[in-house]
Amino acid sequence: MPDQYEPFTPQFVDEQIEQFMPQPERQRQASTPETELVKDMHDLYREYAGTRDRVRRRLQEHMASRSRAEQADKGTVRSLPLERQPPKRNKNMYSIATSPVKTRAFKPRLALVAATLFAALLVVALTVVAPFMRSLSTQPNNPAAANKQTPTTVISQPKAVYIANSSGILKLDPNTGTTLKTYPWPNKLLYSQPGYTIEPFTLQMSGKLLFVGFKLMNSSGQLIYGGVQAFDTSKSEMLWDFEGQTVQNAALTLTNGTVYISVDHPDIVGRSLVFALRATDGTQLNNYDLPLSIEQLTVAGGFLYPMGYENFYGVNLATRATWHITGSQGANQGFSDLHVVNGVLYVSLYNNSTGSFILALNPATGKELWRTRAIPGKIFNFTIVQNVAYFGTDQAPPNVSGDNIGRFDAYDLGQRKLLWETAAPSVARTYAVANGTVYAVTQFPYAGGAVDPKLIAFTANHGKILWNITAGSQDYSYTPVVTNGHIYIATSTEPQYPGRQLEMVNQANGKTLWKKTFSSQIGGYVVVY
Amino acid sequence: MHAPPGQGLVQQEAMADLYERYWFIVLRTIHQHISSHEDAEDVLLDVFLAALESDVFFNLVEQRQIAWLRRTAYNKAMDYHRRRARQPLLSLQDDDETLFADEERSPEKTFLKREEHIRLQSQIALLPELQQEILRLRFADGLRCKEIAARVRKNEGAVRSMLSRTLNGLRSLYAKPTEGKEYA
Repeated sequence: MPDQYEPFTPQFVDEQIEQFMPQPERQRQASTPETELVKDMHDLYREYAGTRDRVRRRLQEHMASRSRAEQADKGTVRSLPLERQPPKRNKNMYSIATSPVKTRAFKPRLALVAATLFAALLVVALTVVAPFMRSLSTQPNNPAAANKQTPTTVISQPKAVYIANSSGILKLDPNTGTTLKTYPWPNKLLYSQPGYTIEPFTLQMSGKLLFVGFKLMNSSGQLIYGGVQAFDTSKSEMLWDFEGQTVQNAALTLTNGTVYISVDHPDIVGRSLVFALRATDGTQLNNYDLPLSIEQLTVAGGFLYPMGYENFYGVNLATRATWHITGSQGANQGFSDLHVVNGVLYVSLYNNSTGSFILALNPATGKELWRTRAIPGKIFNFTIVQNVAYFGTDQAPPNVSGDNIGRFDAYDLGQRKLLWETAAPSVARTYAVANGTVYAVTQFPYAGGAVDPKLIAFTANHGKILWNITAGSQDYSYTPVVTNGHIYIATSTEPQYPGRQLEMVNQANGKTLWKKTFSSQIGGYVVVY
Repeated sequence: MHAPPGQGLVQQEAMADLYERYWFIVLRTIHQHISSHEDAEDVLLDVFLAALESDVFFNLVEQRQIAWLRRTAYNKAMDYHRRRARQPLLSLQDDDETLFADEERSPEKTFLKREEHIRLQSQIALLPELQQEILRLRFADGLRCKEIAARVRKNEGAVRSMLSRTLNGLRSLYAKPTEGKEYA
């Protein structure tokens, strides 16, 4: 009789594949047809994937050398690709190393060299001393706030809400959600190719300027460029844009009038380039070539902190000196979030076997100052308000029954102790804090999850849940923006159209006051006062 | 080929795009004629370099481009055999069992494993293209069903069903035959 047993089911096929995957750390699994199959599939496709990556790299190198040859004809020479040095893994969850950042080797003309040297001397004179002195000081510095700080309440009346989607930048009436004006994307060569789509992934504001981080997708849904578009809200006009080649990742952050955008290295898999652009006109001020795939980018206190799941770097923006730590490697583990608060760099790190930690590091050297005790489950994101870290994990407290699959925690970073923990329907990903209340948006931790995303209000002191509504998106982490009495949050009602709605809810009870649907996914939104 | 000014970048993007979409189809075509992974890899590169250097390739519509890639893959594979006939080389892969002493890599185990891989490979080759693509995205690219659904522009539920059905089907290759019966 044939074997009718079917261990792979549609609902859990992803998890089942992972369960049957060969895991050297685990005890050797009993050999069954399904474990043999999954192992062989991995072996077989790993060979294919290796072939694909090596040929892609060789093809890219060929194309890059052809570009260099063409550009050399025109009088400019691009840098040679750098070989990636894979970071070494450390048994103690992460390791630390320091080295200078590799710079791209340009070969400008002599006059340009002289001008650059002169400019560099000026810049060094202005910028080196302060961060260097900070790094020598035993007192923690007080760096500029990182861009990812949790928004706090603003009392004044908002004048407009701006959102970015594939149509462009839209200005909305903050009280009704009515679209007041659409500012379309510039009609440039690639942007306007049939089937090409611009997908914004973040919208950030500095003064009167808005910056949209976007990805340009081709008709097959593949990523062509990572870019940034600048928009002047006072003049209501697009100012400048910038594109960098990317195939997978792009991240953006703002600080002190400079926009930092990371894109994949055009020639080498697993490396990234970070470009520093002057916010007012998009002039490229600097670039950094880093040996990791950047998932998150933060700038604070004169340091650039690019974070990947497995590697985390600190780069002194003035001297380019760098340190790095290597986190737990493997699927679904490693670094997940960071914040710089009161001169301390806090990083969350997850390991499948031990759980999560928040590490407190010296932001200038990466040296560990202390760490929390092991926290059960995975911390995806966290926030810090008045020296208390709020975070959610994907593990409910013990003895909790029902549908709760997550937990909220509050951890006092000053006293280094857990203040409270409470069960949560799923895992908190973004936060806003106002008037002693924490507003968290939760997501089911894995794709295809059964729990809707929720916007949950809980008291900061005790973790008591005040109200919760279905809001946010299962596919995208939208941060709630709290104004005087209202909360703006992007949401999805239909899973196949994620993030196409923006709604304003009552801060006191979570009731929806208005909801507006857009033609494409919202990449980000800001409230302007 | 010397591209007109400004066309170089567009062509490179188009090539990167084509490579991502068709590398596996081309590799499979090559593997039908060349069993060595290393040699197939070199031929795969040759095919895409030939496309990049071609005067006509980028003027073809997509279907013709795929046909061009397949035809060139076949021709290059034949070139490889002609070269190999003139300069016989011993592939490291053919001989690698002698390099490893540990039991898992003993000649017998290696041989059996390779046989198993060939059996699995030939079974996969019989699957419809979409199923093969889903397997490739899951195991080569490490994507989960949701991401695969976005790539192949199918409903996530359909991808889940197809993937689980395919795996259950392939699993039968490994199921031990019961007495008196033999499995295909």
